[in-house]
This record gives sequence, C-alpha cells and structure tokens, in this order.
Amino acid sequence: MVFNTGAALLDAIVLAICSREPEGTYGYKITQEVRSVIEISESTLYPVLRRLQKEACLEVYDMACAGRNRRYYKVTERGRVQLNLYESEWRRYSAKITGMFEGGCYEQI
Amino acid sequence: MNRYEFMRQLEMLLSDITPSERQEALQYYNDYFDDAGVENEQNVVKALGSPAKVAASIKADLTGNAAAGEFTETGYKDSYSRNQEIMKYGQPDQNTADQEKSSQSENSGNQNSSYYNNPYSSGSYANNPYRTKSAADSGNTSNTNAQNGTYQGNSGSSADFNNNGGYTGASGKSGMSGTTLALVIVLCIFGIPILLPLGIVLLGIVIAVVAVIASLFIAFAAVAFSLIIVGVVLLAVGITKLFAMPFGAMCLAGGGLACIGVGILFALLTIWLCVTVVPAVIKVIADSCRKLFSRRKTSKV
Repeated sequence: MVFNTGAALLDAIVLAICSREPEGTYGYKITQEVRSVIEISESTLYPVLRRLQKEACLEVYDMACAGRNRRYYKVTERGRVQLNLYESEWRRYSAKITGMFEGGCYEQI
Repeated sequence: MNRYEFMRQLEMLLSDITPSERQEALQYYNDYFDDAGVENEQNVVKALGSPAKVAASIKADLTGNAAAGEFTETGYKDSYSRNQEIMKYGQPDQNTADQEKSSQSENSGNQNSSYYNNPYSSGSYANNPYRTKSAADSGNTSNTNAQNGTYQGNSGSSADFNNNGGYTGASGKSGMSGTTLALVIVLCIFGIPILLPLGIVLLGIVIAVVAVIASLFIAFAAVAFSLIIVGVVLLAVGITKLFAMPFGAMCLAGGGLACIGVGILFALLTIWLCVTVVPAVIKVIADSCRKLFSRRKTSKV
C-alpha cells in the first residue's frame, strides 16, 4: 500500500474487527482480517493485541475448541468508547481528505 | 524450520522478559499455529519471518517504543480540528474556557507522569476515552478536552515517534517484496506471448524510422553533392566557351548557376535534417524508453 498505517489506525482496525463479534474473536482470524484490508506482516499483530489488552480496551478469555483452549479477544466498554472516538476521528479525517481531493474546499466540511 | 523449532527459538529469545509476558506471547503464537492448521504450518513460519524478528517486535512493544507513533498523527489531526472548532463556535464563554484550561493542565500533568513512569501504557489516547466519557454530557467541551490531551501528549513524546515509522514501513516492505517479485515473474511468464511480438513490432518501427531518416539523409546529401558538382562543371564549361559560342555558353553557365543554387538548397536541407530532425527523433525514442522503464519501476513499487 502507498499510505503508511499508523499505530492508531491499526488499533482502530483491530478494535473494529473484535467488536463485530459479540463473543470476540481469536488471534489468527484477527490477523487474517487485518491483512485483508492493509498490508502488514503477521508478526505485527501480537504486540498490538497485547497493548490493547493492557490498556483494557480488549479482554481475553479462553474457550475450548477442538480439544484445546483458544484465546479469544473481546472488546471492553472502554475499548468501545475508544473505537467510537477513532471512528468519528476517521470520518472527519477521511472527509477532509476526500474533500481536498475532490473540490479543494476542505474548509466547508 | 518447523513449528516446534520456531517456538523453541522464540522461547529462548524471550528468556529475558518476565515469565508472564513470555507465557502470553508463546501461547499466542501456539494458538496461531493451531488455528492456521497443520497444512499452513510452513506458510506461517515463512510469513512470521525469523523468530528473532518476532521476539524483537514483542520486546519493542514492552519497552514502549511502538506506542509512540500515533501521537504524530492524532496530534496533527487534533490540533487542526481544534482550531476549526474554535472557529466554528467562536468565542467560548468564560465558564467553558476556564473548565477547558483547568482540565487541560490537569491532562498535561497526567500525560507527563504516565509518559515517564509507565512508558508502555501509550500515554495520551488511552486516557482520553475516560475523559470523554466522564464529561460526555457537557458536549463540545469534553471533545475539546480529549483533543487537547492528545495534542499535549504529542509534544511530550515526540522523541519516540521515529520508531513507529520503522515499524510499519519495514514490515510492509518485507511482506511486499516477496509477493510482488513473484507476481512480476508470473506476469512476465504470461506476458511473453504478447510482449515479445509487441516488442519486436516496436523495435521494427523504430528501426524503420531510423532507416527512413538515414536514407533521406543520404539521398539529400547525394543530390546536393551531384547538383553542385554538375553546376560547377557547367559553369566552368560555360565560361571557357564564352567567346567561342556566347549564347550557348551563357545558357550553360546559367544552368550551372541554377544547379549550384538547388544543390546548396539540398545541402541546407541535409544539414537541417542532421541538426534538427535526428536529435528530435532520438529524443522521442529515448523518452518513450524511459517512460516505459519508469512505468515498470513504479508498478513494481
């Protein structure tokens, strides 16, 4: 991809993916879904998940699956607030950029 | 390298972090291999890169480097939108302004402490949601507060922000080069039946153009040369026979002069061809070549 993905945007994407499933989702699936929208290496996701977990935006729990425990990541209330903040910021930001590209009159947006 | 070697090396490389962190990371990657399935084991090992790289990414986050990047973006974005908000709402009333000021300073104090004491809690933006939430009913003010906080955080930790550029940039590049290279190779293989004849045709056209210009040059030069020679000879003959047969000699000399004139005209045409047309054609060919290659280069990137 031409544009770099900053840590905040990556956090936002991960939170969005986790919040789509009420039960949460697991590391491998999160990685695949993130990689379907942006290009990152597979080893990038763990630090992000761990950090979000420490910031109490994500909570983890283990669920038995196919004879073993699988770790699930679920968005907390705090994570949801954070995600809302990110989403509104993104809407504003992308609207400004789009406005700049299309009309050059970003001040009206 | 198989999964177990990978995990063993990773465990060794993580021996200098706390046991709980190590346990977390190892469990994550164990899960990752389990979920990818046995059939994808090699792909996952390849995609993760070396255990050293994975261990480095885990440790980098623990020492707080990776958390710094967002400050540049949110800081920039927020300082801008804050200005806008002030523009939009005009002069805030005294009460709001006071409130804003107090919580701003409070916030910045908070930033500094969290930045120094707890480097990997990623500072400002983690604190913001609570501020937003606690002051949610006071509307605009809370929003501005949150943004102020982030902006302050930016100035506090700008020293760190380089690390993040490396983290996205490097990982993106290393992930891309392999696939892009493979793609280019595949494209080349499938493109050969089309590209090869196309290239030959283009080469043919270029050679034809060059040949036409070269033959025109040779023809013009030959015509000019022969006309001048003939003209000079006719003039000479005319002058020598001027007294023997004045009318015929004058005609010959005149014809000779006319020949020389036309010859000089052709010579000028030849020189013009040499000076103007040839460099122009060369430039066109060179430009199109360059464009072709630079397009290939950009498509590669």
